Amino acid sequence: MVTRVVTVFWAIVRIILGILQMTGAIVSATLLFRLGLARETIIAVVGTAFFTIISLVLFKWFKVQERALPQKSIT
Amino acid sequence: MLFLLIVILAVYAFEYINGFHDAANAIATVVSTKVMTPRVAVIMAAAFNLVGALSGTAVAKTVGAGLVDTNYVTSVTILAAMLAGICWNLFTWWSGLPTSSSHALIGGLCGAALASAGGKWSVIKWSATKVDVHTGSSSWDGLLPKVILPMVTSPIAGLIGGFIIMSLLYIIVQKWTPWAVNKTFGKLQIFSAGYMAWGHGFADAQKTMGIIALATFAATRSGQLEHLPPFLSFLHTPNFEIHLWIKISCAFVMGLGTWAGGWRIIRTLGHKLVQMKPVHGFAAEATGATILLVAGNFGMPVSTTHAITTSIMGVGVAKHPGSLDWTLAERIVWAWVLTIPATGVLAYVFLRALSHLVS
Repeated sequence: MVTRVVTVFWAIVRIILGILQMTGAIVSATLLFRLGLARETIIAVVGTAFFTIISLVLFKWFKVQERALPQKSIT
Repeated sequence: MLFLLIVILAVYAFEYINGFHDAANAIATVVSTKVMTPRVAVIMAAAFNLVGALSGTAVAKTVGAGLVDTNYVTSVTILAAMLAGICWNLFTWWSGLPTSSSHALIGGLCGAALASAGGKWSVIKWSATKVDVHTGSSSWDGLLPKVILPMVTSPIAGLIGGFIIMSLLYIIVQKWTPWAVNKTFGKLQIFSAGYMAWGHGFADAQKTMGIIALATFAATRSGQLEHLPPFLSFLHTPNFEIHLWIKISCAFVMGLGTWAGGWRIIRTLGHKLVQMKPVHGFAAEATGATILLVAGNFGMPVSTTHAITTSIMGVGVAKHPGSLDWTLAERIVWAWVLTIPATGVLAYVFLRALSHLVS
């Protein structure tokens, strides 16, 4: 049961980070096209990079979600 | 005149590729759950695409006249946009990535219009309030409300919708036997796949209808269609409108493309992302098609691919977070983010090259 809760927790974290990255990338590109290299654009790019790095560290390097899984094939 | 026919042929080529690139949207789940054989599923999808394509024009009008300043749109602009869309769709199809044909088209159109206007950003209709002269009602129009916002909101809606519908279905069927669940949802999935194929035709075929209407309108305005032989008089378009011949031809070409099938993307959506049973396929398709239908009625060119892919992801998370291939899901989402910038740049380069060739 604890494993299930941990798995769901990391899934939610990964989804939230994914949505933040997707939104950040779209906002960054939009601001870049509209305003050029303005302060708002740089903030959006830095924010997106921050969430991307967190996602990479958690899910690619430390593989926290895979470690929380008891087995891969659950139906 | 000859150039206009080349442009229309390029639009049909894009429509055909859109058909087989996005065939997966309607039939990936129904094929992977073995409810239908691939061939029967493709034929059914082609038929429902055809019907869906003839069911409305709100999105066609948005794509044709609501995103870029039509004063800068020429036949060369449209050809460049189409070539960019075709290249991106072929690349993503080869990579097995379910990306949006709508966004490829819109990105191409914006990039080509920008190049056509000599880099003047005001050519892109970013955000404006449109007032209906007949009713007096106003609406929010332009790239931001019609494309950028749905680009963020529709995947989130698909993810949450797929998760909620799948969770509800789990509650409903928890006391059923596996045999009864598979049999019931196997039958229901035929309807949901048809609904999804109809939604795909309704949303996607309209986008190219809008482009053909724009091409004939631009050619008429520039005087290229002044001395047409009588049998080609149907091309004459003094006002921006979607003629019946455009609707029927686009629907037919998309149906043909769907019939050809795009098995690389079908494999990604139907097998690699999440392993599905009929109940999962039904939940994903019902969610995806509902998003398309609601957005289509508001004239929002929402991506069919985004709607169904995120619905499948939502269903996967509801099934079990470990059943979703997260790395693949992330790769797909990044390809979505890159689609509009990539096709915009490609179309910009194509327009520059074509302008040299034509002049």
